[in-house]
Amino acid sequence: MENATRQEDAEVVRRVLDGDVNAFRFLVERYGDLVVGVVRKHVPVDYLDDTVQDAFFRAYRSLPTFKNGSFPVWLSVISVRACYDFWRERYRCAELPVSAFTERHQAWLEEALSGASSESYREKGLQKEAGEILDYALAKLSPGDRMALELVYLEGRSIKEAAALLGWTSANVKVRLFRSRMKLRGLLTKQNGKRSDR
Amino acid sequence: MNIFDPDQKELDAILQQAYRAREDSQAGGQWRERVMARIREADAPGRAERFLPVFGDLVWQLAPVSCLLAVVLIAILLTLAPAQADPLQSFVTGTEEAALTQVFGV
Repeated sequence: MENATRQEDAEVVRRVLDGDVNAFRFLVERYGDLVVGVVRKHVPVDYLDDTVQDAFFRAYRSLPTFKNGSFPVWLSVISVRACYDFWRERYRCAELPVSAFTERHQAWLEEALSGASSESYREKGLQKEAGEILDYALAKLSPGDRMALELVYLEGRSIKEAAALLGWTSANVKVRLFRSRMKLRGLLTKQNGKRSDR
Repeated sequence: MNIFDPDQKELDAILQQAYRAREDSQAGGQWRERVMARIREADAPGRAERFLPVFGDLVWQLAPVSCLLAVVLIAILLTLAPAQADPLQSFVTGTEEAALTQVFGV
């Protein structure tokens, strides 16, 4: 089954490279959900469409480099790198979405650091605050540190997998993970300390 | 793997839950059409890129030649330097004077 899918993908790629541009639509339809699934974890929802579009366009431009492997794996790598480039672009232009850290977030964090269970957060409907605090903290990291942290700590991928997706060495991913973990801890405990001081 | 210490692993779990909540966000319906439109407007894949690798190879092949040429030119310049020093100096001071005249009317 998987082999048949691979052959079908390879055939479509060959047709596109031979000039049948419309054949690419088959790949867009088949792997659209896959790319959306990868991109929506890393990019704010407002930029989801544009980044998905960018990932597919990059894939189209890079088709000559596709070597009869697994097309979805190849496309996932391109999608992750499109997300990384999205943050690099924002970081370079200093256009990072600014999330404010409010009293409500501080109260949330204090409770979280005191050891309340994740079930109690679900029950209290405090998931929104958790998402906002996560966005606030991630926005303070560099694009590379952010991607490494998201892939390994938040998505649960292995270091090797993250390195392959980002095109880095495992050592580079480890260094970035250490750095981002320290920074995130520092950020959240500092915010909590500010509240305790009052 | 945890971000926080083991005694705060609940915070890890909460942040991971918050991260997974992003999976609920949906893309709009128009991106597929836009991808295809953009692709139809673009060059055939590989056509634009083909130039760069060829040009890139040429640059690297010419790099030793250009380095050698630079060394030879520096050697020639250093050999001729004493003879050329005065005109060079007069050019520098000449332009300085001209600039001062223009700015301050000196």
